[in-house]
Amino acid sequence: MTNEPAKELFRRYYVARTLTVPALAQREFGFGFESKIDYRHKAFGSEGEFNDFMRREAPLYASYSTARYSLPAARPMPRKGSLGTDLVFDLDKTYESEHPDSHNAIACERCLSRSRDDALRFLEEFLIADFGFKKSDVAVNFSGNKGFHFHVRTAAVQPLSSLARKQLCDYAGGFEVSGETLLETLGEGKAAVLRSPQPGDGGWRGKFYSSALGIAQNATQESLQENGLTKGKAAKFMEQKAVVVSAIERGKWDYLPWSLDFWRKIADDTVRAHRVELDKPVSFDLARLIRIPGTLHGSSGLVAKPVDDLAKFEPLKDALAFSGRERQAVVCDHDVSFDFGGQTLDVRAGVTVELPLSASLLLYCRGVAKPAG
Amino acid sequence: MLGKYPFLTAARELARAKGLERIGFEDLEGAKRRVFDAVNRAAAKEFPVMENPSDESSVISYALGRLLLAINDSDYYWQKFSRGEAVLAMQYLAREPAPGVLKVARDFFPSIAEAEGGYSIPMAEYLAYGSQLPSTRLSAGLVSLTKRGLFELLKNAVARRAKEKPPAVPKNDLFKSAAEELKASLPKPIVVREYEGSHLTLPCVKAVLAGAPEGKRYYGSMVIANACRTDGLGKAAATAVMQEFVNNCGKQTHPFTMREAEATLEWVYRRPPFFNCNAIRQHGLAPDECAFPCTRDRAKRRK
Ligand SMILES: [Zn+2]
Repeated sequence: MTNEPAKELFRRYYVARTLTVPALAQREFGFGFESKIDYRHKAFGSEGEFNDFMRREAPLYASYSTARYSLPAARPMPRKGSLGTDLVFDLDKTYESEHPDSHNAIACERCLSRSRDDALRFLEEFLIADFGFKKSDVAVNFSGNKGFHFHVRTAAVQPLSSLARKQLCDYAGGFEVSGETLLETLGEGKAAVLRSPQPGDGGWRGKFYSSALGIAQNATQESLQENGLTKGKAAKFMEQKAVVVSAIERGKWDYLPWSLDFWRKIADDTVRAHRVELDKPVSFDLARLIRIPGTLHGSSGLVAKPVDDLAKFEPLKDALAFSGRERQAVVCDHDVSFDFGGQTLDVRAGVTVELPLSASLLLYCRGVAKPAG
Repeated sequence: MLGKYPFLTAARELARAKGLERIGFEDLEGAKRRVFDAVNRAAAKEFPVMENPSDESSVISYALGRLLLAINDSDYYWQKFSRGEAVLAMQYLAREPAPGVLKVARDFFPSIAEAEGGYSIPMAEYLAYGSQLPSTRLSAGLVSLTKRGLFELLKNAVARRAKEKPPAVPKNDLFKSAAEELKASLPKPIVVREYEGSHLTLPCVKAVLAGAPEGKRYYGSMVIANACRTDGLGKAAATAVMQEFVNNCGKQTHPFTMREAEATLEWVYRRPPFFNCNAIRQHGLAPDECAFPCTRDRAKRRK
């Protein structure tokens, strides 16, 4: 059943603006009124046609293809004729398990801020530092619900295969990267050679190198023990600290031969701290549809908003569909309490309250409230 | 140079200049010989290499050989041929002075440059032929490779290009009969009769299912997904098996999430069934008593 109160506000939102879509005429579109995609294989000849559709139909979910096609509406898929596919990443991890007691199912600022931190790290450490994209090559978009989307539309990425895209996700996920691979002993006995990160290395080796060097430089008896060394070994390490640090600065990790296992553990910790868990099928599926930037998300009523300054972005303030002072009276079917737009909103079951329009919309989309009266 | 490396882009011009209408019996004989040699070379450790093969005859035999393979259209021979051509190319490259290596590499990776300790290749160019990005040195969009790393990558690249199917296949009798003669001369395909019982009950798979250590879980999830796929399990049943794997990994300090496991299932279920217990062993996930080849469970025969 269509969520009519939400749909009404969605229509108001679309009537008040004109959306633009890059390479619109070459995209396939999909829309959902009850589920995320009720139908797809739709195409539009112009922005006018597309915006008319959005104002008339006010879909709860609107997606477009990451690929561009010569015949975007053709079926089956191979008849569309791919012209290339944007490189897209979706970070939609949930963080509920990190704060089960304080998680809020209506709107969780902690989850959103954790997601933003991961998004920022993915952008800076992987997309820019490792993959080498320019900041201007990457369009960052709030997904409208839990996470963030990253769109790279440069010519160089268009022909990348599904396997190539999967490799990029695997890389960011730190798959098969561990203490054993970062500090790898090749051969045995006297012929054994240690293949190890060196100063100036980039990528995962560089991430490990800087974190390990920091740990060595700032080592104290306590910090070493916290990182798993026995009291005796930590004391030995501290006696030799200056020499160990200078050895690492020269890329030598086994000055204290027994410390290799310690460094491998630090490497495992580094991978765990830096890895980013992406929704991989969104990247490797070349026929994927993804939320259209600027449209509303049917599960939240928030805008899938393009983000310029990720570090400062606060979805529950910056991605509201309606920012005016207008309020709407709602009745909830159970008690809810949540932080929204800088204030805490408490609503008792069955009691009519006036809420800011975007907050009312959020409750309609979450399926917990109806307009009063 | 084209004599040694007939897969280079510049060779196409030479092949086109010859033109299909001017192909004669001798040319087709040369092509058959080339494919025969490549298919047999794929498995050989040592084989003779011509010092200075003529550009024209090598380019023509390579191009025509690929056409004959396309007429026969057997994945088995395409695979063997491409591997054999890659092995041959690596023999020449091993003796090639650095500028020559760079010239060949540039045909696949136009922006390759010499760098400290080896070479660097832009990531997007690497991804067109490489499949080991997570274990490469990657920084600022450049993959750094040692000379050995570059050679491994080139071997892949040559093989991949050699098995790209030609866009059009000649249909005249001269070609058809040459293709038939070629097929008759080639060793019959070795078909691995796959284990007919459940892969999920193999000792190596059971060991993985019991949980994999950190750093190996992603590969572990691949093993489970492939075993489910090869056993013909539906997605829902496979998801239940995967949940068991995830639960078992969760018994250790840092859990592996079901979301990651499901992404692996998604990847594996979009591809043809594939199972390789040697790889499980190479990843150190198989129990000691499980020896590859798993003769108890696999058998080879010629079709
Ligand atoms: Zn939360």
